[in-house]
Amino acid sequence: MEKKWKVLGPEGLGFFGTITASTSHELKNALAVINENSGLLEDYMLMADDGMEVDPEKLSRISSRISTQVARADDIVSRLSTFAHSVDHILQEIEVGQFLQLAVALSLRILAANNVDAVAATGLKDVRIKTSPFLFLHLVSNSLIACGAASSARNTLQLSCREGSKKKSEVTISLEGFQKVLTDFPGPAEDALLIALDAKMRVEPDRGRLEIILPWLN
Amino acid sequence: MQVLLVDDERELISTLSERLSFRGIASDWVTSGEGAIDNIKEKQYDIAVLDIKMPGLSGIELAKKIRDIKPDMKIIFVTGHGSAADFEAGSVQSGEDYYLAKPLNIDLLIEKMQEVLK
Repeated sequence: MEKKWKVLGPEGLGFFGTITASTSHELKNALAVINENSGLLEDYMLMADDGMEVDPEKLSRISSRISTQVARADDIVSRLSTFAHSVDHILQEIEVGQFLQLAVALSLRILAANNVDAVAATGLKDVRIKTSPFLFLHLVSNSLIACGAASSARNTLQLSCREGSKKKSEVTISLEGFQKVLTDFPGPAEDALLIALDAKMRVEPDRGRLEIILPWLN
Repeated sequence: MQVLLVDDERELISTLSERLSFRGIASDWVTSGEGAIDNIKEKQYDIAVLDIKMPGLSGIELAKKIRDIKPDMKIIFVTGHGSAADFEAGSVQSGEDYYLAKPLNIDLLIEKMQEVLK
């Protein structure tokens, strides 16, 4: 057990760092777009001061672009907040689909650098499990990134989940659509995560499929 | 001055390009490193302004390719990373490269463009 935490501690911190760095970069981008559009608005105001006619339609478009980016930034901050609060409880009953979508959103920039354009999620409604939310996000994000690294260019991964035959017993998460063999995966971090979550992982490289079987923890 | 802007944030560079045009600076923009290489092969640019973090070809990888194709072309990197201390003065110079932090200050960008072309 002690050995497992020796791996999970530094790996967990590393995961936290990776996700917050990636998210802050995304937030900076939203702010940069707001900054440019606000600057553009200022440019038009200076032109108007100089007696030039400014098309109200243009101003309306700028305002709309700023609103879109404010909503985007708000979404990023909400996501970051949910991620930060995932360490609040060691065990918590979670909506699996909601957390899978969070893992996708948190990993999307990293996935984009690894040939993945999108993750198509299906069957994510009304499935619940009691687990460690942070370790769950860590394992799913690492799996997404590994499948991304094993993808051909401009790939779309498929993500789904289903409940076991008995309610409150287990949940199976499937990730499909990668084309290459997963390199060094699962590695020591994932092995420690699987032990901590009492979960199992099945990789079928010829079918481009990875499954995580998570039990209900008490 | 002919400038090529490269960033995967379309809204950002299209707006920046428009603002540069108001200041008499002609620019083209593309949203990927691969697209930038096509442009550079077809057209003469004085400066490339590159976002460091982009899907596919990163700004750093793109800069290496640009230096192979057009060794005289000047490069300014733009990054969403970096601490306040790093960018206290608004820009950091490392060797021949300039780094500017997002959100950009357009006056500082133009100042750096003029500086690298000297």
